Amino acid sequence: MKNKLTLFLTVLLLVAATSVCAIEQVSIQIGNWSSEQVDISGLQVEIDLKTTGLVISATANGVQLAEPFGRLSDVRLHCDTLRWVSGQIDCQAGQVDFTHAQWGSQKLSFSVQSQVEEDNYQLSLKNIRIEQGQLSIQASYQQGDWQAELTGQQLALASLMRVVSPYINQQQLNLFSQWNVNVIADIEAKLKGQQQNLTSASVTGALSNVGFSDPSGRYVAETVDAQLTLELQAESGSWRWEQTLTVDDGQAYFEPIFLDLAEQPVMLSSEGQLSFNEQRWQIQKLRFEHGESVQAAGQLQGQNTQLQHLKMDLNSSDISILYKDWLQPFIPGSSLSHLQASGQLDADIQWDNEQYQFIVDLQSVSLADEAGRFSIDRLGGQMAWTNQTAVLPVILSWQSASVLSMPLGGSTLQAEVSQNQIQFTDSLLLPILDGELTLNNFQLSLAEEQGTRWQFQGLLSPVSMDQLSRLLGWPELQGKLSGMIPKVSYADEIISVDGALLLKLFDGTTVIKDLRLQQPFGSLPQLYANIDINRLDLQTLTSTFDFGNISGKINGRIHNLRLSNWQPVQFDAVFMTPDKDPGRRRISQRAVNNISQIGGGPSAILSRGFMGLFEDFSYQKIGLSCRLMNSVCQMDGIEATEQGYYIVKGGGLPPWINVVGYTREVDWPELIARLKAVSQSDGPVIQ
Amino acid sequence: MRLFKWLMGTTAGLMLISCVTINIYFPAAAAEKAADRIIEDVWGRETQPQPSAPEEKETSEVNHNTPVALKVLNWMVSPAHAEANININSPAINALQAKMKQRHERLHPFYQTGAIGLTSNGLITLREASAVPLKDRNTVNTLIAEENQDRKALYAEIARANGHPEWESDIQETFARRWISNAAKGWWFQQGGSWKQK
Repeated sequence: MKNKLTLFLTVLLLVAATSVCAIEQVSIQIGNWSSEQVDISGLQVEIDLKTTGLVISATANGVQLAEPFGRLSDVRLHCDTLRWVSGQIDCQAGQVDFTHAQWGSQKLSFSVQSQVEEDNYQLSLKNIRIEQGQLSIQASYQQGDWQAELTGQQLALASLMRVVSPYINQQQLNLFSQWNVNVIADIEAKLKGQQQNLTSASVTGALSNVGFSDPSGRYVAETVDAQLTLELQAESGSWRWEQTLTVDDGQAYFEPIFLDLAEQPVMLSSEGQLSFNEQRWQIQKLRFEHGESVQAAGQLQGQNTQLQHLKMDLNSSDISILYKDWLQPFIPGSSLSHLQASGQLDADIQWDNEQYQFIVDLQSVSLADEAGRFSIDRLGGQMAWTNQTAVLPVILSWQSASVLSMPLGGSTLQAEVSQNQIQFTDSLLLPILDGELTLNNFQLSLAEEQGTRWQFQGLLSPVSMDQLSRLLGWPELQGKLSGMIPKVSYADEIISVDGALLLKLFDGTTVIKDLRLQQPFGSLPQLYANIDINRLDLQTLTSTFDFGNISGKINGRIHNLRLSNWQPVQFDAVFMTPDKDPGRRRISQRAVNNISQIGGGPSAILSRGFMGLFEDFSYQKIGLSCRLMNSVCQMDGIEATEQGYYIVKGGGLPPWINVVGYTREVDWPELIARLKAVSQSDGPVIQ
Repeated sequence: MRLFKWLMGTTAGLMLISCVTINIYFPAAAAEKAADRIIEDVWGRETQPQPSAPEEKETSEVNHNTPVALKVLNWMVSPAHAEANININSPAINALQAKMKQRHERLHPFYQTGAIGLTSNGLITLREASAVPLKDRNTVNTLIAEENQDRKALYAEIARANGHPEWESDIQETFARRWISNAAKGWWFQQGGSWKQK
């Protein structure tokens, strides 16, 4: 085959050389011609001799290239200035047209220069059409060194993939089509290399309409616009790079982070190095900016896909966006997932093979739960956390705070952090209304296997009940709440209070024990307690609630109390006149009336000797119990009568009175409604 | 131990034990009715409830495989307990129900598109992330997390409110079946580890 070619060319050259003067145009019909690599059919070559050089035109019906490239049809090649001198072939301005199944119909401009002896070649191809896009290539090669410049306009990745898909690994192609990637790029690349190796690359590009999505939809980008620069330099056994990426339009989702890039653009730049031997990489300079929310700068090191070292300075001038974009998505449905946040922070983060520490400086940070469960205002100072043995100081102050609608005053907290634990170094004084809660030996640990745990010893200095009751929407109570709390602890989402809270109310004492609070900020907070009531003065009590007058003392207990969502749903309550030292016992007409109404109105019978003549009556004992379960109150009194039970039993100096209840089961909501009606009623109705 | 043996060895023992068994028996039919009431309220009337299996499996077991003595005992004892109701009328349950009802308006479109599906354990989950617009992804994640918290709290509260905290898993299991039965046409639910569409 080669011989045949040589023969034809010799003939051609002879004709050209010997007949310079005689003929200026040679036209040769070659017909079919084939070699190992190429198979050409219907080849026709025309050569024109001009003073500037040869003008060569060749056409072929088809050129069959080696697989997998396939067949070119309607091939036309034209060169105005072909020079062919002693091993040097030049074509300054050539044109080649052809049609190919994948590559479509192409009209390429080209120029070629080759100096075979010096092993020097130059090639330029312009107007390569890739569907809607265009690509030009300029390449040169000299003795093993090569460089190439690629310029592409409106190159669509999908089109590019359609063109190259027959020539690449099917597996890679599947992965690619699963990810459903779309990019339209204007790109300029300068590549340099030696033999098979790339030695440097410089790429700038504007990417538009970038979109991708993994099969599960967890990593998605839509209509993203980005600008990219990349400088790549090969050094002995390693790559060195410098890169910038600015993304300023579109939307992206990397589970669970959603970024609206049109609203807050993202900038990422890095300078780093990758060594081939051990796949070690190092980023000396990393910068990340996400609008107002985060500016970060740092260094990273790692091997393969494993991060080994990180040091990062992070700054946020608006933590409302930091919270919304970068924190909230990680804690959906938690008690911290609906916050109004404002303020600034600076953070210093270090991470070394699972050992980490961070120090955060907070400046006038305010956090408020949207459901009003807690808030903190004007928080400032230094927060820290670490899982290492090093001890980091924490000092935080705030102007005011609130928990479950209880306002807390400003305070300062001093603590030390080490090994996933924080411990107060000083007592924390937390003003509550006119009192103060002192937290001693507070300790919190976040060990992974045990979850969050904390505990402290507390001392509650007297808080006025009039303020507290107003706050809780209760009738105004006079008295003080105080307590010595040996231990308050939190574990497994339950706050337990050891010891007792002491409530001084109505000249008596009320002791709250075994207080437990489950999921205080959860869907349905549960509060459990046992309450013992000792010697309340009924006179004070009844005048507070405008119930009608009762004098005497009363004892009581509310055991197994459960509040669900701060509403009582279960308890076992008994109230009874104490046997010892019960005091002077009188009950007014109105109080009797009200008690009988609560006890079921008509079903409670008043035995009222000389009724109507007396303002009040004396009694021996008063008592009522209610066992609440399932919205039903099982009621009982002091002792049973024939059909019912005594609520008030007469005694002492006449006139006496007995109040007997007959209803054993009372609907709890109805009972509450009756109580409300009584406290709102205008006065006694005497029949 | 000796007492236990003695108990086991006598009919009286059997009867005593059976008493206890009946006493803590989970009122499945009542639980289903309670679940349906809550579901109908939360989802509204758009969904179409399907009647459940007419008879409880466990009940029939008790009825058919028990000695005569126990049958008699059941006849005497069970009326009081068989009537055992599941009360769902507590302020806590009402509050949860109201929250869930309100949230349902926002969840509804995602049930319709199949983005959210009903799990076999009475909760919901993100089934088809790509059916949710990117900007709504985190809203949906939050809605799902909060709905599941409320559902868990609801199951626990119904059990507690009825004096049997240990019924929580039975209640959850009952609800799981009823949510699926009540689901509207086109909604997705999990069954035997795979997704199915109503």
